[in-house]
Amino acid sequence: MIRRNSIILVLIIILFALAIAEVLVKNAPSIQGGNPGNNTLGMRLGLDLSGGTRLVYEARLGNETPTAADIRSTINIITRRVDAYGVSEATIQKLGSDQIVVQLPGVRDVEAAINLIGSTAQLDFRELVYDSSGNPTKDENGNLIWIPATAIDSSGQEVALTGQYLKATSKVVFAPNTNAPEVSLEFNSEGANLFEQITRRLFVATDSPSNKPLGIFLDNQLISDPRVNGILSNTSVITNLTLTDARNLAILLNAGALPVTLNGPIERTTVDPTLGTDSIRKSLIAGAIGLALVIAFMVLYYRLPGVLASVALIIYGIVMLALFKLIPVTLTLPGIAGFILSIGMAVDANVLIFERLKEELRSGRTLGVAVETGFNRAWPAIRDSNITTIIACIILYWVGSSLVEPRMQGFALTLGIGVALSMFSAIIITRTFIRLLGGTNVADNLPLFGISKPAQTSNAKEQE
Amino acid sequence: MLDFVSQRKWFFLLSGLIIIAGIIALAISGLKLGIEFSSGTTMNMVFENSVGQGELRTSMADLGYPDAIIQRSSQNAFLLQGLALSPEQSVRDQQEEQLVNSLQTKFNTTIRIVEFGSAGNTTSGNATPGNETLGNWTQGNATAGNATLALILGKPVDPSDLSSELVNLGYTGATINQTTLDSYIVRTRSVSTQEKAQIQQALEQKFGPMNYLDFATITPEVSGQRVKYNIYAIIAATVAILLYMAWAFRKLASPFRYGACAIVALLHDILIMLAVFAIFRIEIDSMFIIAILTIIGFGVNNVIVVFDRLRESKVVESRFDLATRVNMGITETITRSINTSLTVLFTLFALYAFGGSTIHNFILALIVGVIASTYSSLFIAGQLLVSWEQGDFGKLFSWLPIRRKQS
Repeated sequence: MIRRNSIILVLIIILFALAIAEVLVKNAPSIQGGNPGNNTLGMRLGLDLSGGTRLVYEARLGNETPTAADIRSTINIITRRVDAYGVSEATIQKLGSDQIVVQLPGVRDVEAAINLIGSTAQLDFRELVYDSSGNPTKDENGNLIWIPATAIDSSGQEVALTGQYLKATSKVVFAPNTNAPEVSLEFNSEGANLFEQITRRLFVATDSPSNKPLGIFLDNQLISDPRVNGILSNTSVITNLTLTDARNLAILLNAGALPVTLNGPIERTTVDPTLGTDSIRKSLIAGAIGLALVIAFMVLYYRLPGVLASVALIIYGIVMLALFKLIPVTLTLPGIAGFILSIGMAVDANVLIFERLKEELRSGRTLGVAVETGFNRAWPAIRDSNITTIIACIILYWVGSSLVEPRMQGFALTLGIGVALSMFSAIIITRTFIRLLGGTNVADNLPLFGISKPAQTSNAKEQE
Repeated sequence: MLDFVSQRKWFFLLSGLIIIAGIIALAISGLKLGIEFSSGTTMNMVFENSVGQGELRTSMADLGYPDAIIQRSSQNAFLLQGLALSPEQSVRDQQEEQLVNSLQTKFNTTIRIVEFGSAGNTTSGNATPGNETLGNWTQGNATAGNATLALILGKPVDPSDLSSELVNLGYTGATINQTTLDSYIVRTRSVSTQEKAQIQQALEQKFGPMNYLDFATITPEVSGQRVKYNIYAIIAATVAILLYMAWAFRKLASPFRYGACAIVALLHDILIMLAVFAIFRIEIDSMFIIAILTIIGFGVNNVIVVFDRLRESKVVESRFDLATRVNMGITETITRSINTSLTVLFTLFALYAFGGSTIHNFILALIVGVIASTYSSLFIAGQLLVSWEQGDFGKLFSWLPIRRKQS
């Protein structure tokens, strides 16, 4: 028995050492691998702690419902756009059947991000219609009439030239003379064929003026209308852009057009990054104070077992942090609250056991026997009460994932893991510690266990 | 041994009174729902020049938001002019972030940055949309380098300290004015991105430079979905717990009663949480639902510990009636229940006092819930079990008016 107990003690010490290493080493491995977060402990932080913006869009496809495949490819395209925009650790997820949640940590300029994400990014090329006297026709409002620029593709069909014929190699370049920002385009072979036919037609027009303009439209909005000054085929540039616009346009063209239109954002919430930093600091202080209060209470009320439980609690806390990093759990403010709350609840299992232990000691049993019966008697209540809490956590996690609500998921995960681990902490760690006392003379000193009266009399009184 | 069971009607009465007070508060003023559940927009507007609440209300009404709820506050701030920041939005964002981070570390307080007259949304409104350029894309442009920056501080800072720190960070020649800025939290129906820009443009024309410190919007569609899922969650948790408890107490007679009484105790806890939030008009958001589900888990925890004593073999085999057994169970576990609740409350109080304002209401809900569930596990759940067995409820309904007086 004592031998087995020593082995468990050694295992607990090893576990504790590993947990400390995992927490303290900044780039400690996590199960999923990849990039750890950017704060000092290397934890992944949710939007409420890192700061950032949550946007929800609704995907629409005319009157039809977009298919799951449409949503998947929309998510892929948005992911490419956001990656290219330079947001690290953005998450883009499906919500319900036709909504998309975009979480952008640390982005200050939300309006620009919204324009980048929500844009369908359908690029197309158009030309003007000329009347008999060679002037471009206008509609009743005096606006120029642009019609899609078409050409004959390799299968003999007449098709319009659009962004789908572009290679994903667009980039921002600067005009050699003016140094103005431009976006370079590269067509694939079919696109080059179409573009050559179109530029030839606009450059050497037989009917009316030559060097006609080519309209370049993004989402039905004219962004550039250069005059065609030569026959081009595989490359072109879009001019007349600011640097920011050029940069965003290149991102959009490379990521491709969305198969759906996005309405919204129908939800938009932002946490200022500075508030997040402040929250982490405050939560750490609150956690330390909470832990100190719990330890003070346990030691004052339960004496020696309270001290042992407090040591177990500290081990519990460190192992929890290590698990958060290892799994990894995305820490959110409610997640931290759940963790701190679980410290309070972790004590519960210990309290249940100690109350039973006291009962057994009062009825005159030796410490060794009292520990075993106390633990065994307390177990069903610990098991059932923790399982119900875990049930509540599972449901909370499920709702959190259905709503793509990381605060809820974070809380459910930390509290759930905490409750599960607290059972382990109370049953394995605290018990091992108390068993160690079994053979020593401490075991005879009942006041150390918070029992003042002689065992037999108090027991006799209670029986009456 | 203290008698917890025979005086049960007083416990029921006390809880009933709190719940009735809550229901009256609910009936009179309803729950104050956050935009997550009621949909709408909350925006925190900061103005460079002084703006009166009445003026703002009139302007918002003119813009088509007559029902806007407007709350005034003010912000300690420094206005910085002539700071050499990049005109390019993305670069400027990084510069501002570094600035905020350095100052925040230096002065150990929250610092938020707002640009006034940065030409962001305002000039994009001047570009004719749909023509020639990507007009409404453009957020930053060359004039942005002249923007006035407002640093909004969590606590007062000596201007000369700020000035020397800015020089340390490489920003020389900036003029610094210490001031208090008018800020308004405005809540309206949900405002779209375009409307947001229109509001800013209109208010700037009238009141001078203005910007948003916070902007959150949720459409009715999203809030409806949230309400639906949250209700599912509470129902699912309740049913799952009922079933688990029936299983855990399967060796006792009528095991479903244990689950059912636990659920009633939980509903009691939830109603008390709702009552407190209704009476004190505290806003209900997603975090409140998290608190409810936590209390469901925590409360059933407490009830199970009491009920656990009822299924122990020495108790089951005893010749005592249920009332005595319940009383024994409560007496034996009261220390544990109070101690556990105290340790949880210690951590909650620590979070409430030191954990930052964003989780205040959440922690408050948990504190109320923990107290309610400790009370209900000791004074309601077991007593309900006894009442059920003794047929109290039938009696209550047949002689309801007289019964109360007789006690």
